Amino acid sequence: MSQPDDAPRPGASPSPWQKPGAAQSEAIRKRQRSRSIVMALLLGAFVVLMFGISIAKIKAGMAH
Amino acid sequence: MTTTTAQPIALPADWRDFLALTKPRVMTLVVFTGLCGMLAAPVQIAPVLAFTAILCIALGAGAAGALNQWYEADLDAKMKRTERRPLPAGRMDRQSALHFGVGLGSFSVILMGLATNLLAAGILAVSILFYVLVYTVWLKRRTPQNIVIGGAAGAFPPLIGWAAATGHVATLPVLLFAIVFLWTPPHFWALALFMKSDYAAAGVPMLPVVSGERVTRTQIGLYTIPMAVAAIAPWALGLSGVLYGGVAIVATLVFAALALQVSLRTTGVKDAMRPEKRLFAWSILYLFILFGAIVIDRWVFA
Repeated sequence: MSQPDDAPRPGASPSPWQKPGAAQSEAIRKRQRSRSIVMALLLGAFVVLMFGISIAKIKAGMAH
Repeated sequence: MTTTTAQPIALPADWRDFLALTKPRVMTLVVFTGLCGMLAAPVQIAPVLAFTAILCIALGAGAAGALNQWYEADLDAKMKRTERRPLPAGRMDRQSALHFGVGLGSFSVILMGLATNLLAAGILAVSILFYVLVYTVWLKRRTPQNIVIGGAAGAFPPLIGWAAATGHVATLPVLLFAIVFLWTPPHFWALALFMKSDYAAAGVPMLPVVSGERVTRTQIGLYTIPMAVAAIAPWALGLSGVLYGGVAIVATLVFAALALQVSLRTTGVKDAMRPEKRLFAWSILYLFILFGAIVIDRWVFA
């Protein structure tokens, strides 16, 4: 009897598209959430920094 | 009917692993010397621009560290000191490290150019490329002189700090560059003496592995001479005051005494390598003392 198309071949490495279990899904989501929070904080800090740089440049331009 | 068992799927790398990729401990010295280069400059820039320049130096160093770890993942896996890093430990895939390093490096150079000037951005770009291409890719696995030439990469920050503040390069920041450049060989060879087996296991041609301990000890002693000359030169050339001169002479004499002890000794099989560890520890403190002294001196005698 032939195997269905989506069955893994014997000896094949696990497919990256393979569905993770519930515990794995939760761990992945948790990791993604923490990365997203850090990314959001960094982007916020970057916006504040760019604002500060712009103000400093404008002030320096006015002084000259 | 077929049954499939759940296979473990790799988690995406944690943000802490990306942070570890930037070698935060190495970054401390880079940031400090860059900050001192900026503070020693005769020009003051807006605090937010100064902060951005230092941030860019830190990010550039982090990018260089990330690309170094991307390229050397195989070597890191063979050394105890580095086997727990994100790539050899399997907590991150190599492509993520490459993308992170290239992205962070490009970002740091562009931000430096926008916030300060093109000269500082250019030197920052050269320092990142020098560390990655010249030191990591070209020299490290080929010659025991790897850290002598590669040491230039770590010597750029005071130049970048000065250039960010003034827009040009002068004699003093070049001397600060020379101090770090000439300090690197005795500093790293002291480390290599007590980490010799690790480097040998990884096949890295560090001087003690290729030429033996005797040659390395002699080289430590010899390289200390030009380093001492460079350390005292700012005072001797009248670019700093007596405060820096005094601190530099005393700190350099201590360095020279420790280096002399290391260069003259011979060790047995199970030697604890205490003088070598002492020289390594002092060499780190020495650089902090010298650069701190030059800033305080410039401020006091300004």
